[in-house]
Amino acid sequence: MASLAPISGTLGKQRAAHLLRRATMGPRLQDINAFSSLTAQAAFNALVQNDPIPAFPKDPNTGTDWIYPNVPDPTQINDIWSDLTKCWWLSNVKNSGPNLTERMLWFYHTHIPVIMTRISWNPQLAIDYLRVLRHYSLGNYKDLVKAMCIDNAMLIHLDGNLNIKSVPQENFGREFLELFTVGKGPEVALGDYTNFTEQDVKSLTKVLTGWGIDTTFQTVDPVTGIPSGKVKADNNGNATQHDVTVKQFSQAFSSQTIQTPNVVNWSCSTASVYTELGAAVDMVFSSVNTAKHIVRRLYRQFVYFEITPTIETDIIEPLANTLMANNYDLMSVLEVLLQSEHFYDLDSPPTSDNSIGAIIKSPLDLTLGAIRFFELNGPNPTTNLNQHYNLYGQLLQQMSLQGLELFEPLDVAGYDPYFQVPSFHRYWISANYLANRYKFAELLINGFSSGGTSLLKLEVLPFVEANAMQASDPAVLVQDLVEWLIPIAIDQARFDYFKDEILLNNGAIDWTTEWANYQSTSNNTLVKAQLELLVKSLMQSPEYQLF
Amino acid sequence: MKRRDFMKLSSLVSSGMLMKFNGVPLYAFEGDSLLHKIAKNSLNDKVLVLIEMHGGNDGLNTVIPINQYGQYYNHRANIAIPENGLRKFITLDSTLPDNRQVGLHPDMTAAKAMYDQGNFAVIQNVSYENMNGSHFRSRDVWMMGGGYNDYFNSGWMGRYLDYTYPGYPDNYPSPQIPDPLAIEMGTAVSLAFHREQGIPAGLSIQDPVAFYNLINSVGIDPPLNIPDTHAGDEIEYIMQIEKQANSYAERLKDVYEAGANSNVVYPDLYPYIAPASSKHNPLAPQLQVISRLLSGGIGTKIFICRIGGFDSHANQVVNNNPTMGSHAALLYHISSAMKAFYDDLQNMGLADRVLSMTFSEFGRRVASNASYGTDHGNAAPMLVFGTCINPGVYGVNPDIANLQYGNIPMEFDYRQVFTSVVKDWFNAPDQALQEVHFEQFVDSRIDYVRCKELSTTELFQQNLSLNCYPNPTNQELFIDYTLKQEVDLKIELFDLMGRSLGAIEDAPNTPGSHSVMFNFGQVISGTYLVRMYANDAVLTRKVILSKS
Repeated sequence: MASLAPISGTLGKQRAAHLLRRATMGPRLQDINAFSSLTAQAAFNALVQNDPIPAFPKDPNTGTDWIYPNVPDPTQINDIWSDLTKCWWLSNVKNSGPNLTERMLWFYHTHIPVIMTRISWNPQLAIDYLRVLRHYSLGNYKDLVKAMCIDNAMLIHLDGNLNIKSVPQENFGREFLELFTVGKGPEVALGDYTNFTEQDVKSLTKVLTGWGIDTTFQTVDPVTGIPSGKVKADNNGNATQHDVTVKQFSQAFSSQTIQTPNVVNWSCSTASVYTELGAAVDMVFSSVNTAKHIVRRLYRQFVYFEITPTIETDIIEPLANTLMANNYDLMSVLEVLLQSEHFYDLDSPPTSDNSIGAIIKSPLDLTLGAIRFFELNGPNPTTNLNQHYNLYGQLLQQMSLQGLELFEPLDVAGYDPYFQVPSFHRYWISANYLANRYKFAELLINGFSSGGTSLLKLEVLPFVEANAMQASDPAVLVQDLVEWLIPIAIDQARFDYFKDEILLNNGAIDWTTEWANYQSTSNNTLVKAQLELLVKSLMQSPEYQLF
Repeated sequence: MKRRDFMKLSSLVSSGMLMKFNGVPLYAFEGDSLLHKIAKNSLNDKVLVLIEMHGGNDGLNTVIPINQYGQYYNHRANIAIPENGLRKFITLDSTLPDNRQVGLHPDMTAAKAMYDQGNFAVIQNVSYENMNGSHFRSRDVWMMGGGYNDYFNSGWMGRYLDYTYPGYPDNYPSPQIPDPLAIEMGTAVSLAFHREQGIPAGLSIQDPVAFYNLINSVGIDPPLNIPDTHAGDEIEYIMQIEKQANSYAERLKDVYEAGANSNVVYPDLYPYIAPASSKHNPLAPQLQVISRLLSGGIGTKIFICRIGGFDSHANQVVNNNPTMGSHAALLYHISSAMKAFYDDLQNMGLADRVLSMTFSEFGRRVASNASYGTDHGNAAPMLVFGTCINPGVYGVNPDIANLQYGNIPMEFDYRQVFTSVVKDWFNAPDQALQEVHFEQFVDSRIDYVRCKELSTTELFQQNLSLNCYPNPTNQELFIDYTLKQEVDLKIELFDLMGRSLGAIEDAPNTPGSHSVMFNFGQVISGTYLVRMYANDAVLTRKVILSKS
């Protein structure tokens, strides 16, 4: 069976690396070393350290950010802000520490996505959306979903701001139930999806009527301190577009009703609308289906895409109970999952259903993971902002070629690999996407540049010299590199391929002698070329695509 | 150093074309001699182009029910296409009965022109029972070819190809079947990074050779042994995609380079008011590539193009003008791109091989919302394009006074439409229809395919026969045929790329048995097809020319 029992003892390198690959945006060697001497519990405690909140991105034209009370440069076009925001996000991923913050932010975005082009007309909205995700990155899923209900970007993205009492707009209410909370169960009758019904969509939509966006940014969420949407109200603070009728829910929610508090003359205060939203969120989150739904998503993100009946019984159900007992604190679940025998392939009896190395990296993990691992740095944003953006723009382009249009999923459900049955993460791999993933290794070694100025370049030789145990011994050297770059153990034939055919060029190269020559003459031509070829080959292997 | 011949990808691939189905793997059956035999005998060169309108198309603003106009208008006054004025709907065909009187969106003039040429049809109110309002589930249902409560792990197209081409992809490419069986085109929606300091332009389908050169050095030897783990499963999957890419890349590039488009200009910009993101035609470049591949002789059976932007909860029309906006632009793009595509194909004599149709996961609610948009609904029309179809309007206008939960109820199951593709267009045998799980829709399939290849039973009923000898021949071919009644008759010979060698002049079309002769002249040795068109029926025989 799949076991949630915690493993004991210190992690050691292999497990530390596995944990960091899944829980952070990619480990560096020093992170792996540091975590390898920790117990699983101590490692988890380290992972939930808050990452410093990054400063807002700067507009290269003005040198300041464009977040209220600053204003966007009116001469710029909206696409620029979108691009700068994406670059900002990527650089936050790149700079994040060995903790869960950015991984959870990415998880949230793949689960509760917003499509940039729908909100790009106001350049602050995307940033505020990301700020809300970040605020709850180590926190409470229920609070996050509630905040998303009235987030400016989300109100536009799923048309919540158009949902008014006379003409309900179901878009958000439907996705709220289907994607973010209880999820769809089997359709047992027309309009009855077990976990919710069409009636619930309609009633919830009524609960959600009357919210609008606030692009003056005067409405601030008291919990997060981040601007939010607001209730549409008249000068007396009475809600003008909220449906105050009684909302009847189906048996999926125990036939509950939700009523607007303090209704006077078919109207209510804005406070009543907030209260009613809270009541609806409470109702939906009291369904165990909401807990199961989000735990399955977590499992897919952190462990493996396939949820078998065994996993459902042994992992999902107990973790859903844990989650409800902890009032939707996701860390209560991850604390168990990321220390579990199941996570580390230590189920008893052992099975071949390993999770180590079993997920295909997203283009974000592939590109930024490599940059983080090799500790590459681009232009300094303080002194060279344009070049900084130029680099991240090129990285966005690479991700796009690999099948990830960051912040621009085709679908309101997000990116296919995170929800689309039956193949999930395999949707990252197509002939052209794969070729571009392989190509990225070469680009990294050749270096990204702009107008003749180098922006980012992987210098393999210095990295190897600084980190390899014994670079003069080809077997020891290749062992190091394989451990660094390949998440699973490889067999002797594969090892020999990388050592003999690649590094030693089928016996044509006497590596130890060449390395000694390099040490004595500083002529690095041959060792540099061979090391670059080796790293490129490793990164162009099917094995490297996994993590 | 031993380097594998790897990843010679063509332009197709650079443009985001995936040699896979959307969410529907083409997993292979074991090779089987009987099935192989059927595949080898498959002479049908018909091609299907599917256009996925991603997000749920508003069918009522695509095809307007004229006889219900008052009801239609009352339900959606803020987005209704007007019945008067310069931008009124286009009456498709005033000779149709009242309950089939439909208007096309005013930006579908190209579709109307195709209808007038006999090349456009509308199939009304297509859906499936217990329509699921979810984008994802609903798309899965359409792709999978099942009902609302089916959960197949394969798609209907995958199953059809599996049956017809046993052992795909492992046993392919083969000398007989050198091309991928299906190609999914990328969305061609570029979100390129526009800034002053230049970054490399995105790879585009206009420059296939550069892309080929760029990446044909990528990759290493695959591992010899694959661990029996989940990770091993993924490695194997990746290796399979690599192998597939290797197998087809050079071929696709060669085909693409061998092909050419005619002088037809494909449309680009929407000429009226719409958001900037809707202005460019996302479909035309995809169809242009398909056309060029067909002219180059590609044997691919199914192409899928995907266009996003149909999930029009809000602002599907611009304020103050319900005939313009993002939805109008999308309809313009599809209609104008299709016209250019068929003009192009006709110029090259390829049009009769290609059937195209749109589909979308669901239609939209009849009543609009206050945000100039529409919410998820149920049934919607499918648009069919082609020179080998029976034009017309299939099904009747929805009864807007009697809706089902505010939605248009289903008149046709989508499988009734796709069954005609499999049976009539691809000429699949009954067993294939069973494999595809469409057997119960055969009798109720919709008769929009004109150029049918008749089954043996049907041929027997019509008393048609066609016999070619000697086969192989080295020069002259005798063609015997029998007609039961007088027909419109044409006998024409083609090569395997669909290029005509010429027709038999003056072949008798009267009842009785006839014999004519065709001389191959200077034609080189190879496999050729003899086609007899007798009214709507088509008979095909394969002949081999072997000059010693």
